[in-house]
Amino acid sequence: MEHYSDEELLQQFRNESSRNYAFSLIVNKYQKKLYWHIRKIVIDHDDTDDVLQNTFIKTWKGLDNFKEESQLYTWLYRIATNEALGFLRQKSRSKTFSIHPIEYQLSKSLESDTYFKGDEIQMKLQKAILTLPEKQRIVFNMRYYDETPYEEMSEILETSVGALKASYHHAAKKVEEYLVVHCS
Amino acid sequence: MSEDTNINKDGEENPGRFRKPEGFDFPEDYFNSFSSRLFKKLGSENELAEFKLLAALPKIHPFVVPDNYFLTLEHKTELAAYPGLASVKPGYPVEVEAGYFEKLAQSLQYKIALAEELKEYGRLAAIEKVNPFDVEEAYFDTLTSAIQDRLFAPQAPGLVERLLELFFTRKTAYAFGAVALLGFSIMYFNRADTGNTGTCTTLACLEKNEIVNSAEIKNMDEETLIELIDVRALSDSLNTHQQAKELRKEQEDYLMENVDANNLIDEL
Repeated sequence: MEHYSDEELLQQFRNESSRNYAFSLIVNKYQKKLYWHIRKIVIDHDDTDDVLQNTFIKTWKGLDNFKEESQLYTWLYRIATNEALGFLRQKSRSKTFSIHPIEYQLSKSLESDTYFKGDEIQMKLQKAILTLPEKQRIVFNMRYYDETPYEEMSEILETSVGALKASYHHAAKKVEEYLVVHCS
Repeated sequence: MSEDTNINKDGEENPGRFRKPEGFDFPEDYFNSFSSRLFKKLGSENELAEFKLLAALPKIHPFVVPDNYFLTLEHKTELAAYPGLASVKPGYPVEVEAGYFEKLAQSLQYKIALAEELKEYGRLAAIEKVNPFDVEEAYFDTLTSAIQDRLFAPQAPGLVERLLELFFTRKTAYAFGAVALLGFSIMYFNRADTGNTGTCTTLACLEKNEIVNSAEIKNMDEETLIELIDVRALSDSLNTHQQAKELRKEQEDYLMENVDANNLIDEL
């Protein structure tokens, strides 16, 4: 498969005859990156699949109005993040009668996940990450695992670089404290 | 370079030691000095960053030498036996992405900065940074078609749409419209009967019971209440009341004076 730049892909998408092909190229180019981004937020594979499909469906519907004021990659990440957070909120609302918060449910989902290949320490690290508030969790994952520069993160999450640095610091500190207590 | 670098003094192979592939060789301290050479290079890159114009220029040799200048006589003699090989221009057979080497230093600096950042959190830094989640490789092969199926598959109408289609024919639409129009008309005329214009905001326009039962008014002091009274409206209302009273008195007097008592009894 040929490698096109985002600009070329968008140009092809705007052309009616190559629209579907361009969209399939966009899906191919970004599916893995977005999958892992979403997976770290919603944990479960099936839920990730749902959110990822919804992300691309929203992309298809919104791509005509995409003004290229930001990069395609940034825009896709923003949709994926919002979709994943929306999914978690919906999930937490649909389990109103559950006495446990969504973080606990995610932690349980992690324990029973057949697609989790990490060892004991990796499991503890994931559980530590799950204790973080939503936004901090996303910032931590993007910085620690994806090594996303703060400037890029700032565009995706629409938050200042300073606030993101502070958020990462708080998150890393909390994870560190959790690990100290649980990995003695 | 000696052949026994992987053999210890007892003649056994060193267990954790990297074994050089046969036929290849490199300087003894290549890997030991690699990091120091790397940092030195990064240092010189940083140094150059102060001079923006100079840093922007591609760092290349502008001078050239005649072809095969560096080939020694020995090489030339050797190659003479293989004219095909001698005709091949020496160079690297593989190519790298354009701008790779320019990005490399930047990328290394970023990696070092990330590692430094993580050093602050000892436990976290000690954990191997791996993605612990897994997914079937075939999943990504089918994702595009799954999304396209969802996008382009004809969607079955929902329950509400089906009910609307069933009941909301042209005739029922007209009937529904007529009922709605009738309902709104009744509401409008009932509202008009109250006599409240909706524009009056003074006490004079309110019903007596509304005023008496209003909790807000109960809590108001005398001065505020007086401010709320529209004197002209009240005066008009009192005058009208007075005029009606006077008219009724006049009518009674007229009847008493001009109508016979028997006639009155007959009328009743």
